Amino acid sequence: MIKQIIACVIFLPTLLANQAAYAGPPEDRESFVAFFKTRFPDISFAEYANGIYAIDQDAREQWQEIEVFPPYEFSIDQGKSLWDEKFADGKTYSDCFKDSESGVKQLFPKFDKHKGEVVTLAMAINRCREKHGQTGFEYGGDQLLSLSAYMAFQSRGNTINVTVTKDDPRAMAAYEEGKQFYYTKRGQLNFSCADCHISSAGQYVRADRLSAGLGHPTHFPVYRSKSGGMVSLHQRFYGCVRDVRAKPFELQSREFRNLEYFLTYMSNGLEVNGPGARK
Amino acid sequence: MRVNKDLGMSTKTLLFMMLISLLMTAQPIRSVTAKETDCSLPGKDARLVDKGTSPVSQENIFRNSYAEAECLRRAAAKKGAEWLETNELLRRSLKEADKGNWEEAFRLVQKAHFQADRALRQADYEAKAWKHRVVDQKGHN
Repeated sequence: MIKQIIACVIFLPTLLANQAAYAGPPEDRESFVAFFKTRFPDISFAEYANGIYAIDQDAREQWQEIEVFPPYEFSIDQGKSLWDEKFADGKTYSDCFKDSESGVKQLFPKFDKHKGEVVTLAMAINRCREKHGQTGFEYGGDQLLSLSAYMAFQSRGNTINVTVTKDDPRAMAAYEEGKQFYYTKRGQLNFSCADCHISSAGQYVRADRLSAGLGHPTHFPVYRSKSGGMVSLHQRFYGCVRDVRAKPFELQSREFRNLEYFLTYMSNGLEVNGPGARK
Repeated sequence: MRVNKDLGMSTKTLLFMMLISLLMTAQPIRSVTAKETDCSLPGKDARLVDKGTSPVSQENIFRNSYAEAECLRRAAAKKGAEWLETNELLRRSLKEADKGNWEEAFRLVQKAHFQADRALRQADYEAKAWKHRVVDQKGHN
């Protein structure tokens, strides 16, 4: 009996120590949401779609003033013009995106079983263009950002519903790679995404408060006052990686797409409210 | 007495279990050296250069130091762990070397070497350490 107790005492912590690292996507999401519920008990789940404005009341008031005349409206208009243009073969974007009238952003990124990789909305737009004889837009360029802004606007109010199919090991591997990226410290400052947006969420970095990791993908692309233009989620990833003094990956690189896959899955159940306005 | 006997009998089992336990939880911090990453090259380290060294020797030592630092940088990049300014430091060191500013060239290449080495160490450590930061079922981080 004593031997069994001793064995339990030794082995149990070992077995439990890394349990979270090996949990599946639904368990990960449950834990992710639970963390913020504990950290900010007064903030409802739906509020996290507003990013930092769920946490920072002063910034929220400024944001609400900005939203009276949204700075991203021009992008939505430009995006609509692009959306309505016909390709050389007479087809349009709506031929590539089924049910596009009611919005599709909530379904991206998704895992493409044929190509064996994560496909983001930006990639899907360019694939659509190439399929119909057009050249792809530049990632991070105005046209792609505008079209993404329009598609986000069409999807407002839809609930994020990204799926990770457990029966496809490639999809699981992509998800796991994104998860590893999120928790891995990198760069000269030795910071991970989680260091700022989980452990330190709500705390100040100089004059700014750090937003929660939950809800990050709901409002992109955003108009950033700092840069005076629209910014994609991958441009934001790029900025964060650079800020911790690591060499950033390319926009729409495998690393960033997998990170988006993980991060968006964590935000499943929240409403799409892009395009947004941020500082 | 009986308890002692039980404990005495389980010593081997206990040690075995502790060993397995340690092996399962161990997080070794591997020291990344040039040799380990096949970046080691013949020639002196840049730090050994003094002002009395001839320009030809200085250039040879610099080229070797540069090659080693570049090799480490590439190894770090392969792991997705390259730091922001390592490549720029190497580029600037070459520029200074071309001008014959050896002191500055060596200073920059040493800095790049240090950064690349630390980036590799970080990547190796993080390959396992990230798992301990994942938010658990109770919402703990």
